[in-house]
Amino acid sequence: MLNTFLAKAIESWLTKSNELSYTLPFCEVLTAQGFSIIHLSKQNAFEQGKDVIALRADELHAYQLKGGNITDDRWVREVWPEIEKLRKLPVVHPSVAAGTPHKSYLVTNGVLEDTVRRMITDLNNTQWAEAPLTVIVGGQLLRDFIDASEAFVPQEVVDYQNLIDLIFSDGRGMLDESKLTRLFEETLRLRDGELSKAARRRSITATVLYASYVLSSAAREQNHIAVMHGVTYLTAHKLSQYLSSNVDWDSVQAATLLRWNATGQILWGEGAVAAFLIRFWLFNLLMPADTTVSVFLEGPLRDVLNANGHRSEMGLLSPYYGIDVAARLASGTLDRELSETFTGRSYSIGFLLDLLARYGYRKPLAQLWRDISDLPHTEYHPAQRWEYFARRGESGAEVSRFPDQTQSWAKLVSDAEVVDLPTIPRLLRETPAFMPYFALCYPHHLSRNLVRYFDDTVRETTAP
Amino acid sequence: MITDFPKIKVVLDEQLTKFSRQVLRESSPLLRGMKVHLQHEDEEHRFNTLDGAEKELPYQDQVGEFTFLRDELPTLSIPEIFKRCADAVREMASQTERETFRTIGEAVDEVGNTLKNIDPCDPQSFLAALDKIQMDFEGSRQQPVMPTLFANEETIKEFRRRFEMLTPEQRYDFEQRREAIMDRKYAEYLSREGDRKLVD
Repeated sequence: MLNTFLAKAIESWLTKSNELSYTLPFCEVLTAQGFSIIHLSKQNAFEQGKDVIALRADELHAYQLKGGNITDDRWVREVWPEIEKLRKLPVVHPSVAAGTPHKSYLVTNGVLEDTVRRMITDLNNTQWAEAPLTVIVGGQLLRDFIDASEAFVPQEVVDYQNLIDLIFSDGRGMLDESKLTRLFEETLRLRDGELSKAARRRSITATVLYASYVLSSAAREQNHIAVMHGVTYLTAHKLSQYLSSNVDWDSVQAATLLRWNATGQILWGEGAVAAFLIRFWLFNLLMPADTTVSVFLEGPLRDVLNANGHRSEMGLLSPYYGIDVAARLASGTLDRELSETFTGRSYSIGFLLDLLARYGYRKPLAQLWRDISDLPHTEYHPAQRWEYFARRGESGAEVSRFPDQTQSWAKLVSDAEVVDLPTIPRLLRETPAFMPYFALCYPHHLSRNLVRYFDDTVRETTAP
Repeated sequence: MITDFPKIKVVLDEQLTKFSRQVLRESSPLLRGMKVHLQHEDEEHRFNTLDGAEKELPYQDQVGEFTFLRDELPTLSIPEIFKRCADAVREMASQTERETFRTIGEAVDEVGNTLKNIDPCDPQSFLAALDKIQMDFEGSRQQPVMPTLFANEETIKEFRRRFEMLTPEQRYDFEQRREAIMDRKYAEYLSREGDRKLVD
């Protein structure tokens, strides 16, 4: 039986949550109950009353999630029209055969006013008899959350104390890292190699729920950085569990992961190169002696040279364009003309070149040098360091550099080792772990110097 | 209350931009063939050339103006409105072309590649110009990437007239010299390409 105090803490969290804040924990509970989530609402007009769609066996289930009590007025004005859409409109999803019937659920973390409860019962007995609406209210939700949490409640007094401290923190500062990571290690049972795969699955559900509980105070204070911090730790710990040496979880070898990652990658634009760099660093850590990891650098380098070379008609989108533009361009649904041509320069060739040189991959560079020497590397140099973190800088310059036509390998390697440390923003120096997120969100501000610096930090981390 | 039409203005702005780009492409073969690189932040651009020189790109405003008087607006036809816009864009294209040739001229002067005091309509001047230009090939001597010649219509007509006036012997001599220049250009191209390599 779960500690009553903790049950009250979960109840307090649930009561203070709105539908958005309990959606993901609710999905985790559904997953733990054997459902597969196939759709999660983005809160737009195309949802047709369905916030969550889940499959279990051959049954299709659609959920409309609400926060707070549903009064008579709210039911008539807001909820009923959405329930009609939820029930009547078929689920349209590639995983579901057209016309598959679905069960409909109204979920709220509050309660139904008596008149609403009565109205739904009447409708279920008459007009809706063939496809009745199931209602899940706050009390049932609370029971589900408690059930999913209780098997993995922290066992040690100190861990329990940590959890309570985190739940009742004021949410205004950064979360206590040591307490947070200790909580995740405990609820994921990272040091316990005896858990079955099913138990590990349940432990992940419980950990996601605990993360929701402890991050809720920061979320309420709109302390997004603390929330992101916590979610990153959660993801990292789940990954640690996944890659741990436990028999059940070591079924995916690093080499297999590499194969999965190396195939089927689409370089939709130069903004996507950062994701390849991160994979390169990751697999270089997992498989330090395996030279095939160079595929994450060599692949995009060849693609960039082919696409952006002078003979090409259409280059890769520059990192100033996101994947949404790439998808719209490919599908012919871009609502404006792209006036820019992307050939004749590259925003990524320089750091791909640097990393290949740093890791001694001379052969592909020698093979490609004729094309490399024909394509200048362009990057943005902010005048002020804070401008690295601005979506668009206000001063500074764009700088294009042609590589040398005849290039000494020794000089290429030594140049690639040089890092201009004073120009690296302090935030990135003090928190290099932020770099991958920076690279993914600001690919247009990713410079050769930043990539070299981050590569240094990766090397230092893994140095014997 | 002052009536405003923000949505219509957005659509008009998009359509005018699209129309302007189309007119620009149609009225300027030089600009049509050019690559367009946008600078998405700040206004300073530094670059180096293949010979290692450091340069700064001097951005310039190119403006085309059109006006509509309040009194004439109710009576102006749609084609007339478009015509005024198109005229402004053509003027802008013309300014940009002139500026482009001036910039190219300065760069050519800087490296001493300008042919001065020559008769541009003389076929021999064409060979002299060809001799000055760096040329690329699509892998073989038979596939040169020939440069584009820009000149006004009268100059081109006169050049053609004089070329057609060449005697068979003069034309043979012209062709021989042109082939010799192309052979040299190909050798230079191979040398350049051979230099583009990774060494110890």
